[in-house]
Amino acid sequence: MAVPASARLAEVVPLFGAEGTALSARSDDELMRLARAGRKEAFDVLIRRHQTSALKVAVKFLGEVAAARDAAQNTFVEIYRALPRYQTRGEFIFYLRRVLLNQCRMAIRGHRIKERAVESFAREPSVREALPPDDLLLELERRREVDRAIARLSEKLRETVVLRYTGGHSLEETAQILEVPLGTVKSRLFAAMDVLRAELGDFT
Amino acid sequence: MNPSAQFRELVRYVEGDLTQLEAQKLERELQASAPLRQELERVRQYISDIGSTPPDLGEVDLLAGVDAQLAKPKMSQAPRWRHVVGALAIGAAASLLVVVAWRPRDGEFRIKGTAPVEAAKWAGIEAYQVTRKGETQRIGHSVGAEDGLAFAYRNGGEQPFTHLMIFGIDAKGDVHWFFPEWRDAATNPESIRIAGSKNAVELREVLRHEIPLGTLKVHGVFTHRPLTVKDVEAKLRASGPLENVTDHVLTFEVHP
Repeated sequence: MAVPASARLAEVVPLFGAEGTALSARSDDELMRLARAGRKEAFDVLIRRHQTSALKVAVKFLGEVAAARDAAQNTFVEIYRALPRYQTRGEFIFYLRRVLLNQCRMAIRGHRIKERAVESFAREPSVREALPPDDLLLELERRREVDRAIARLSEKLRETVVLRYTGGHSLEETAQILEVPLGTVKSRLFAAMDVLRAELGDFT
Repeated sequence: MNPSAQFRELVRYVEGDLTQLEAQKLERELQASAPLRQELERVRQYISDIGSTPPDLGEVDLLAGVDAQLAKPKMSQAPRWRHVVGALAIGAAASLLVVVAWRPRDGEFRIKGTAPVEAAKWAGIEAYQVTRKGETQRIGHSVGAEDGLAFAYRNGGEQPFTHLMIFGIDAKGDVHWFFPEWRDAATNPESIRIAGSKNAVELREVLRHEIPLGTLKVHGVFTHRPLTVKDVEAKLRASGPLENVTDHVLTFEVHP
């Protein structure tokens, strides 16, 4: 039987820690429990800890920085509002990714971002100072093509390839986030790479 | 080996998915073949490009935006729109309609109906009560009249529904709109958009309505197109069926 949220609220959480542990040194689950006990600043630490990685995944998934920012922001709001029902199992990052993916999916379905994908950030050079202009242009054009190809992938292939290569999650973690078998993740990942190769050809 | 199969083998190699023997064989081939090494470089380039993101993302701070959203009033006092309905209209007459009785809190969310719509098997709503003290728990058999109501939905079919309405019909036959909210009779809001998800997706607002004591039936109406509040109200008044919908019904007793 599931533990009622009200019962979980009664967990004893040391607000300051026996040794006065800094919030930044706390685990994700400890911060969630502290936030649930009323320490909003613990949740702030969680946001700062995970916001950049959440934005990276969202921006690759959605292809727009502004949409990614909204999705990531809504993700943290949703997580905060669901604090009473969060179960501390040492899997916060997977939970965060699942909420984020849901936000991204809703954004895509709600605003047809897919069609506009990639037009924004792929133009922004990340290697502006490292390469001479022609090489820079080629690099940017190649990345833009890759991002367009990602945007054309089916949702299942895209979320797999983005979690693995943008989010940096292992195959096993990706399977856990998507709640599918490891074999499914592998087949989706390999299929996604096949599609990218077919679409991009010898572009690189 | 054709180029496509070769490319996949290289991806598997990079992912550590080859057996030791397969990897050793491939490494020997890589030593001997410049084009194969180029192809491996291409795999790595793709992976690098997929991993690349705008460099200034690290400068974005979401904290202020999150705080601003959280500062918005959490409780919404949606006025009740009274429409006496003779009988529960959404029902058996609909050819594709599935009505699912409320099941105990730990019950599987799956709808066990016979609708030919695959997504119907994996769609449903969950209801939560939020006390004045802010405690939240899944509603069992009963809910306090003064408790707020919050909802979540699951929508895990292969072709998930795209829209949802949640409303309640109280013991007097009055209709209470939860999602979408209906505040202005001059407007005609549509179903809310929903995502496909095997996990419960929480709808963010806690709603407080004046609900009389007695039985409250909460309907989660899943569709592949938006319905309007007035469409549904008209059907309810006419005791007519809503077609091509999946209706998940939760039944509670409202107590003082």
